[in-house]
Amino acid sequence: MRHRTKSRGWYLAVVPAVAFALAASSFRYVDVYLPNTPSDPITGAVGETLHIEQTAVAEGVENLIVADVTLTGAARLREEDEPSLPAGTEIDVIAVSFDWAAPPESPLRTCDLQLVTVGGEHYLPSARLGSHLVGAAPELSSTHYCTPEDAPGPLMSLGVDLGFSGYEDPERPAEWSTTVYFVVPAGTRPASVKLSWQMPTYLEFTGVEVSGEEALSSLSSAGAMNTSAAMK
Amino acid sequence: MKRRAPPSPQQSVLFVFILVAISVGTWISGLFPTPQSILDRPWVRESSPRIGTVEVADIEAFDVYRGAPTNGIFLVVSLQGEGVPEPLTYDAVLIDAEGRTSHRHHSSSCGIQQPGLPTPCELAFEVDPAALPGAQLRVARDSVLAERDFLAVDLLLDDARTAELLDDPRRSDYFGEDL
Repeated sequence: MRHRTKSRGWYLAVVPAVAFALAASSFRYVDVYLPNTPSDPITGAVGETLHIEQTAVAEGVENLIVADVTLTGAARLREEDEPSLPAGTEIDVIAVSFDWAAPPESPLRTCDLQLVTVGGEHYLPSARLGSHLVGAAPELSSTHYCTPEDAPGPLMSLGVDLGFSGYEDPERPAEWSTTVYFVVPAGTRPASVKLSWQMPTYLEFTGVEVSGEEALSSLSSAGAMNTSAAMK
Repeated sequence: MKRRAPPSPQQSVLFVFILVAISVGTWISGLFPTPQSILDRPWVRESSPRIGTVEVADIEAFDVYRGAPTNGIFLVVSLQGEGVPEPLTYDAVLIDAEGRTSHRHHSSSCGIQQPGLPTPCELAFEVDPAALPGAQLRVARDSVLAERDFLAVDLLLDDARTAELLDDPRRSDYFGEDL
């Protein structure tokens, strides 16, 4: 009888053994895959303010990214202000506007943005097309998607002095607005916008719809060129 | 002599359970590829959905490419992408007839390709003109150094086509304007 009880104990031990085996073999998923892919979304609708507070590690140095971001709206640029692609592809330019609030020491310069369409296709900001975009206004070539161009604030610290420390930008204001432009095939309908600094955390604004057609000049006065003159 | 007792119902159930467990385990492990089957897999695949469709739109020869002179020749290949699954760019290496590898010249550039938005993609290779007939292009996504998958493209350069290309090579300045 005693012998039988002992054997049953071994059968039960299989359960934690399998659990440990699964945990041990999932380290690549947990330690490599999840931290390096967009696996931690912070989701909200257009008009909603999303708060990000993420410790981003660059070369072993921890940087605290803090920001409150609101996607205020999206508009199609009117045809007269549109650039063109050399292949003559029919395009639309979608201007997406954001309101920002963040402490001046938060390193927000190097953000990545993607516009996701109803069909699930991803598009990068127009500045990524570089010189291939013909006749583009300076606003469409700006890479300051997330910060005022003349006061972008600090870069992420890498723990090494690259010789830029002597040069100080003016301090970034506490609140500002930006407009980011996306070149998409004509007739494309946007669905959401994804914004990130470092994997795995990203902000996702859903329910993005084009509200109408705007002139570049009216968007500029509302915050394009992303200068602190366009501060709220 | 003591006769062995027949197995108890519990022992029979355990026996059946072990048989079923071994069968299921064997079936599951059969679903995974063995190291040998991975080695035996054909290396060249028909297409790569991660890169879309790539077409060689044009091939030209340059004596001076964007202000850079050469003792050989610059073979400039224009690629056209279609059906890219997400924003990406192309990179390539050229394998000449003697098996030598040329990486693209730093002055040439390939724009970001996005779904439905093809941008110019021009890759220049500094090569020995004598080894051009039979040259192949290996096109990878983003960077040939980071990617192991590539599209192998026969540039269809025979002796006649090579002679035609080398007959009147172009010259361009730093900005890409004809000299």
